[in-house]
Amino acid sequence: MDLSLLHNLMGGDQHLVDRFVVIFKTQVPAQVATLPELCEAKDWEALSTALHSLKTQFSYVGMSELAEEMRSLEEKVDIGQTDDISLQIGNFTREFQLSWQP
Amino acid sequence: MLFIDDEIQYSELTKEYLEMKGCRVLLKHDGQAGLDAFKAQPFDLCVLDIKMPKKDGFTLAEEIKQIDETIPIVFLTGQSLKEDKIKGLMLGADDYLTKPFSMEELYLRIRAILKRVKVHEKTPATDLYEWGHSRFDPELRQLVVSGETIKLTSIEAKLLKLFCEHQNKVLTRDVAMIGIWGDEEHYRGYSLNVYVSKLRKFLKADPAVEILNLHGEGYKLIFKPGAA
Repeated sequence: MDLSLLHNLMGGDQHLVDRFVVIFKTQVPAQVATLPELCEAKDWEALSTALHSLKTQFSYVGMSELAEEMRSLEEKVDIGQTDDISLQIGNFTREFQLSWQP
Repeated sequence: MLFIDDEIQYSELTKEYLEMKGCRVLLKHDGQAGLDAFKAQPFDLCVLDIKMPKKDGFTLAEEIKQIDETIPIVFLTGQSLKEDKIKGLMLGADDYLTKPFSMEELYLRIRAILKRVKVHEKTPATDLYEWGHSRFDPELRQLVVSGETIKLTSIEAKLLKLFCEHQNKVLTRDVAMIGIWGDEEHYRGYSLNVYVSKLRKFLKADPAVEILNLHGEGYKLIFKPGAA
């Protein structure tokens, strides 16, 4: 995590930054866990919204590779390239859960 | 203001930040909940995310503008797409911020918009009241009766304006006192009669108007047709 961007965005308020990180660590894994369900339900609109939200959150904490991965998946969903999206989401979710260290 | 953004973490903290700066913020996390909130109470400004569940920001803005076409709207977006900006501006957006956005920048933009809106609100056409041989300009605190110009005090002008707003209707003592002195601590019932007497004296030269005493209720300013 690189919190320098967040620090700037929050006007240097360390209290707000700390709170964001606490909430981020709780909520992001839960949001990631919903992605396969949305794929299975073929709820592309909700999937796109969830990816969009995750993209911004990863970018807030300097996780730019994950943010880019979310952006790419969101774009595929938005243009209807959903043939192999379940596979890609499944891979991402597994990797994220394995590497995630709260 | 009404703030609608589905990114719970950042929006909750942004709300907190704006509240620390003195704003009153109602936060909702999807477009439909935002619309319901907008219908339920008045707001000075809306901050809308574009990509949201249930109803996107553009659709929401259209529906909000149908209810109140003057409400200022600031859009937030995760994309810096030119088309989005154009679409937002076409819908009457007052400003546009690309995510990730600085809380301070959002606050400054909101403040600038509200300042601009308030300037416009403060410059309506001046109310002028005319009857019989008299003309009253509340802004200038000037009453002209039968060609004689009388400069009113602030309290006299406030009271006469209240009378004009309630012409031919009852102006209760409570409404008059709150309208003049504001809160209850500053009620000065004894002096209201004095100010009414002064206005009567000023208007005496104009037979077209009279302030009546309504026992136990208050007063009534009446215009007498044909008396002018």
